[in-house]
Amino acid sequence: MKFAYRDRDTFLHCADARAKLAALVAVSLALTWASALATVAVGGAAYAAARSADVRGREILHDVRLVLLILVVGTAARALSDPDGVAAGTAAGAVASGRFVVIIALAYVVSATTRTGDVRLAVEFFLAPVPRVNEKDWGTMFAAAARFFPLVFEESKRVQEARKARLGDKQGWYTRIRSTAFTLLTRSFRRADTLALAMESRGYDSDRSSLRSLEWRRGDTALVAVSVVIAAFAVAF
Amino acid sequence: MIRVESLVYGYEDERALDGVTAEFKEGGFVLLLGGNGSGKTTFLRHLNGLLLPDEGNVYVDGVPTDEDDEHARRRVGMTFQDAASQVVAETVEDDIAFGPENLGLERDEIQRRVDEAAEAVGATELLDRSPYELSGGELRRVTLAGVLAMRPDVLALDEPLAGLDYDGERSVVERIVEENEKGTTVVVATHDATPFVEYATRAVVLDDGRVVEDGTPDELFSGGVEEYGVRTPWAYR
Ligand SMILES: Nc1ncnc2c1ncn2[C@@H]1O[C@H](COP(=O)(O)OP(=O)(O)O)[C@@H](O)[C@H]1O
Ligand SMILES: [Mg+2]
Repeated sequence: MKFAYRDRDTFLHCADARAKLAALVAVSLALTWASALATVAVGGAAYAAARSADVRGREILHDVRLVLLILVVGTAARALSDPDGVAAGTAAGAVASGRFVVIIALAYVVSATTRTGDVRLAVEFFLAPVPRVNEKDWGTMFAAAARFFPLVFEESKRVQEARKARLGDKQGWYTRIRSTAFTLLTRSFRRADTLALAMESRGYDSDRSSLRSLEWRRGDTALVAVSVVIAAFAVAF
Repeated sequence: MIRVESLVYGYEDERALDGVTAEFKEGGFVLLLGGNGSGKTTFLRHLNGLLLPDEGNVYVDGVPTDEDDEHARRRVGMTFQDAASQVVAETVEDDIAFGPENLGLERDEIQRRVDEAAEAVGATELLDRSPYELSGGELRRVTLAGVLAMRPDVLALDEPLAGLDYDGERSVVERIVEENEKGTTVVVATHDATPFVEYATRAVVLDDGRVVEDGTPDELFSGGVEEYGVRTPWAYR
């Protein structure tokens, strides 16, 4: 499933959620300043990470194809309106899009390898020292978002299949997108509603205990160290 | 023990429950019968405190649900008509752990409850699986385990056999009967009493948000219930 956890036994699956989130944040921030070359290099590293976690590059591209389309359109618009000329505009747009794609790919890998329950524990851990912030509520919110995201993807697949089954794919693209988007929106809201109801029916309480616990191992320190090196490299070049 | 007194509940302007009075004694096996739209789901949601009465009262162990809905959620375990929408986690184990986590139990105790509940429904082999990859019968049993792990006094099951084949039906009915024999009160909402009728101690028929029949299965089915959209079980024809 899209952007959803899948049970495997790879290094990244076993890694501590705190290490993965820290790595994701460090590399994503660094990418904001990265040059074209550095972006490509970090993209390569992201691909290697995905493969090591049993996630195929093709899957990521397929699942984020809508985002890719938007980025291409955005780059084209930018190229045509850039005061420095089309070439410069295209280059700038491509680099910005590239960074974004790499960040999304990394987030994809993190969500494929991390249980939402662990996301909750990690967020709680990071926010616990921050005064006047209820870390339990924030942990819950992040976990719920991580949980909800794949549900929207699943709904979107269902809407498309339901339309196809009645030859909806023979309609023009504008009608298709407009009606699919509307159905998807209402269904996603309803899905969020039932998810909340399901949690409530089993006595949901943000002040709850947890079956799982986070365990920091040497590999996690290594993961963070490597990410910091990559981040530093991305900023420096 | 649950007591429902003159319960009225409406969605927007339509009355779904119109003055329902009923009592559920400890250890009973009660069928809640009625056609589509008769108010079964709305009624069950009141037992679990998911919905609160517009008028009238629902008492769980003498505590009104509108004063303490948490008590109702702990004591009354509810499963949904649509089993898939009850799933809140990405593995069966995490999903069954959800209720005990909300109870704030220690890690060892959560693990014990998960193992025990999985065993009770024959889902021990499924613990590492994704709930979305299960067969209909397996998913039903897993959702049942999700509430059993909270050790409720009452099970409120909404159409627990919907969409199951014969084998799936039998495996689910067996588990429900086992729990009832251990002393758990069971309330099953269904439009077809046949699979349960030999175990039921009582049946309540809803029609248009009102109780129209309330008695032992023998009393009920020797009369006629088809006018209320309920099929007479074979044994009574
Ligand atoms: N979420 C809702 N919003 C508006 N009306 C609802 C909703 N759920 C149920 N109803 C209405 O309430 C009545 C009882 O529904 P329900 O309790 O689902 O019956 P049953 O479970 O017996 O099929 C029906 O008329 C139905 O249309
Ligand atoms: Mg119903």
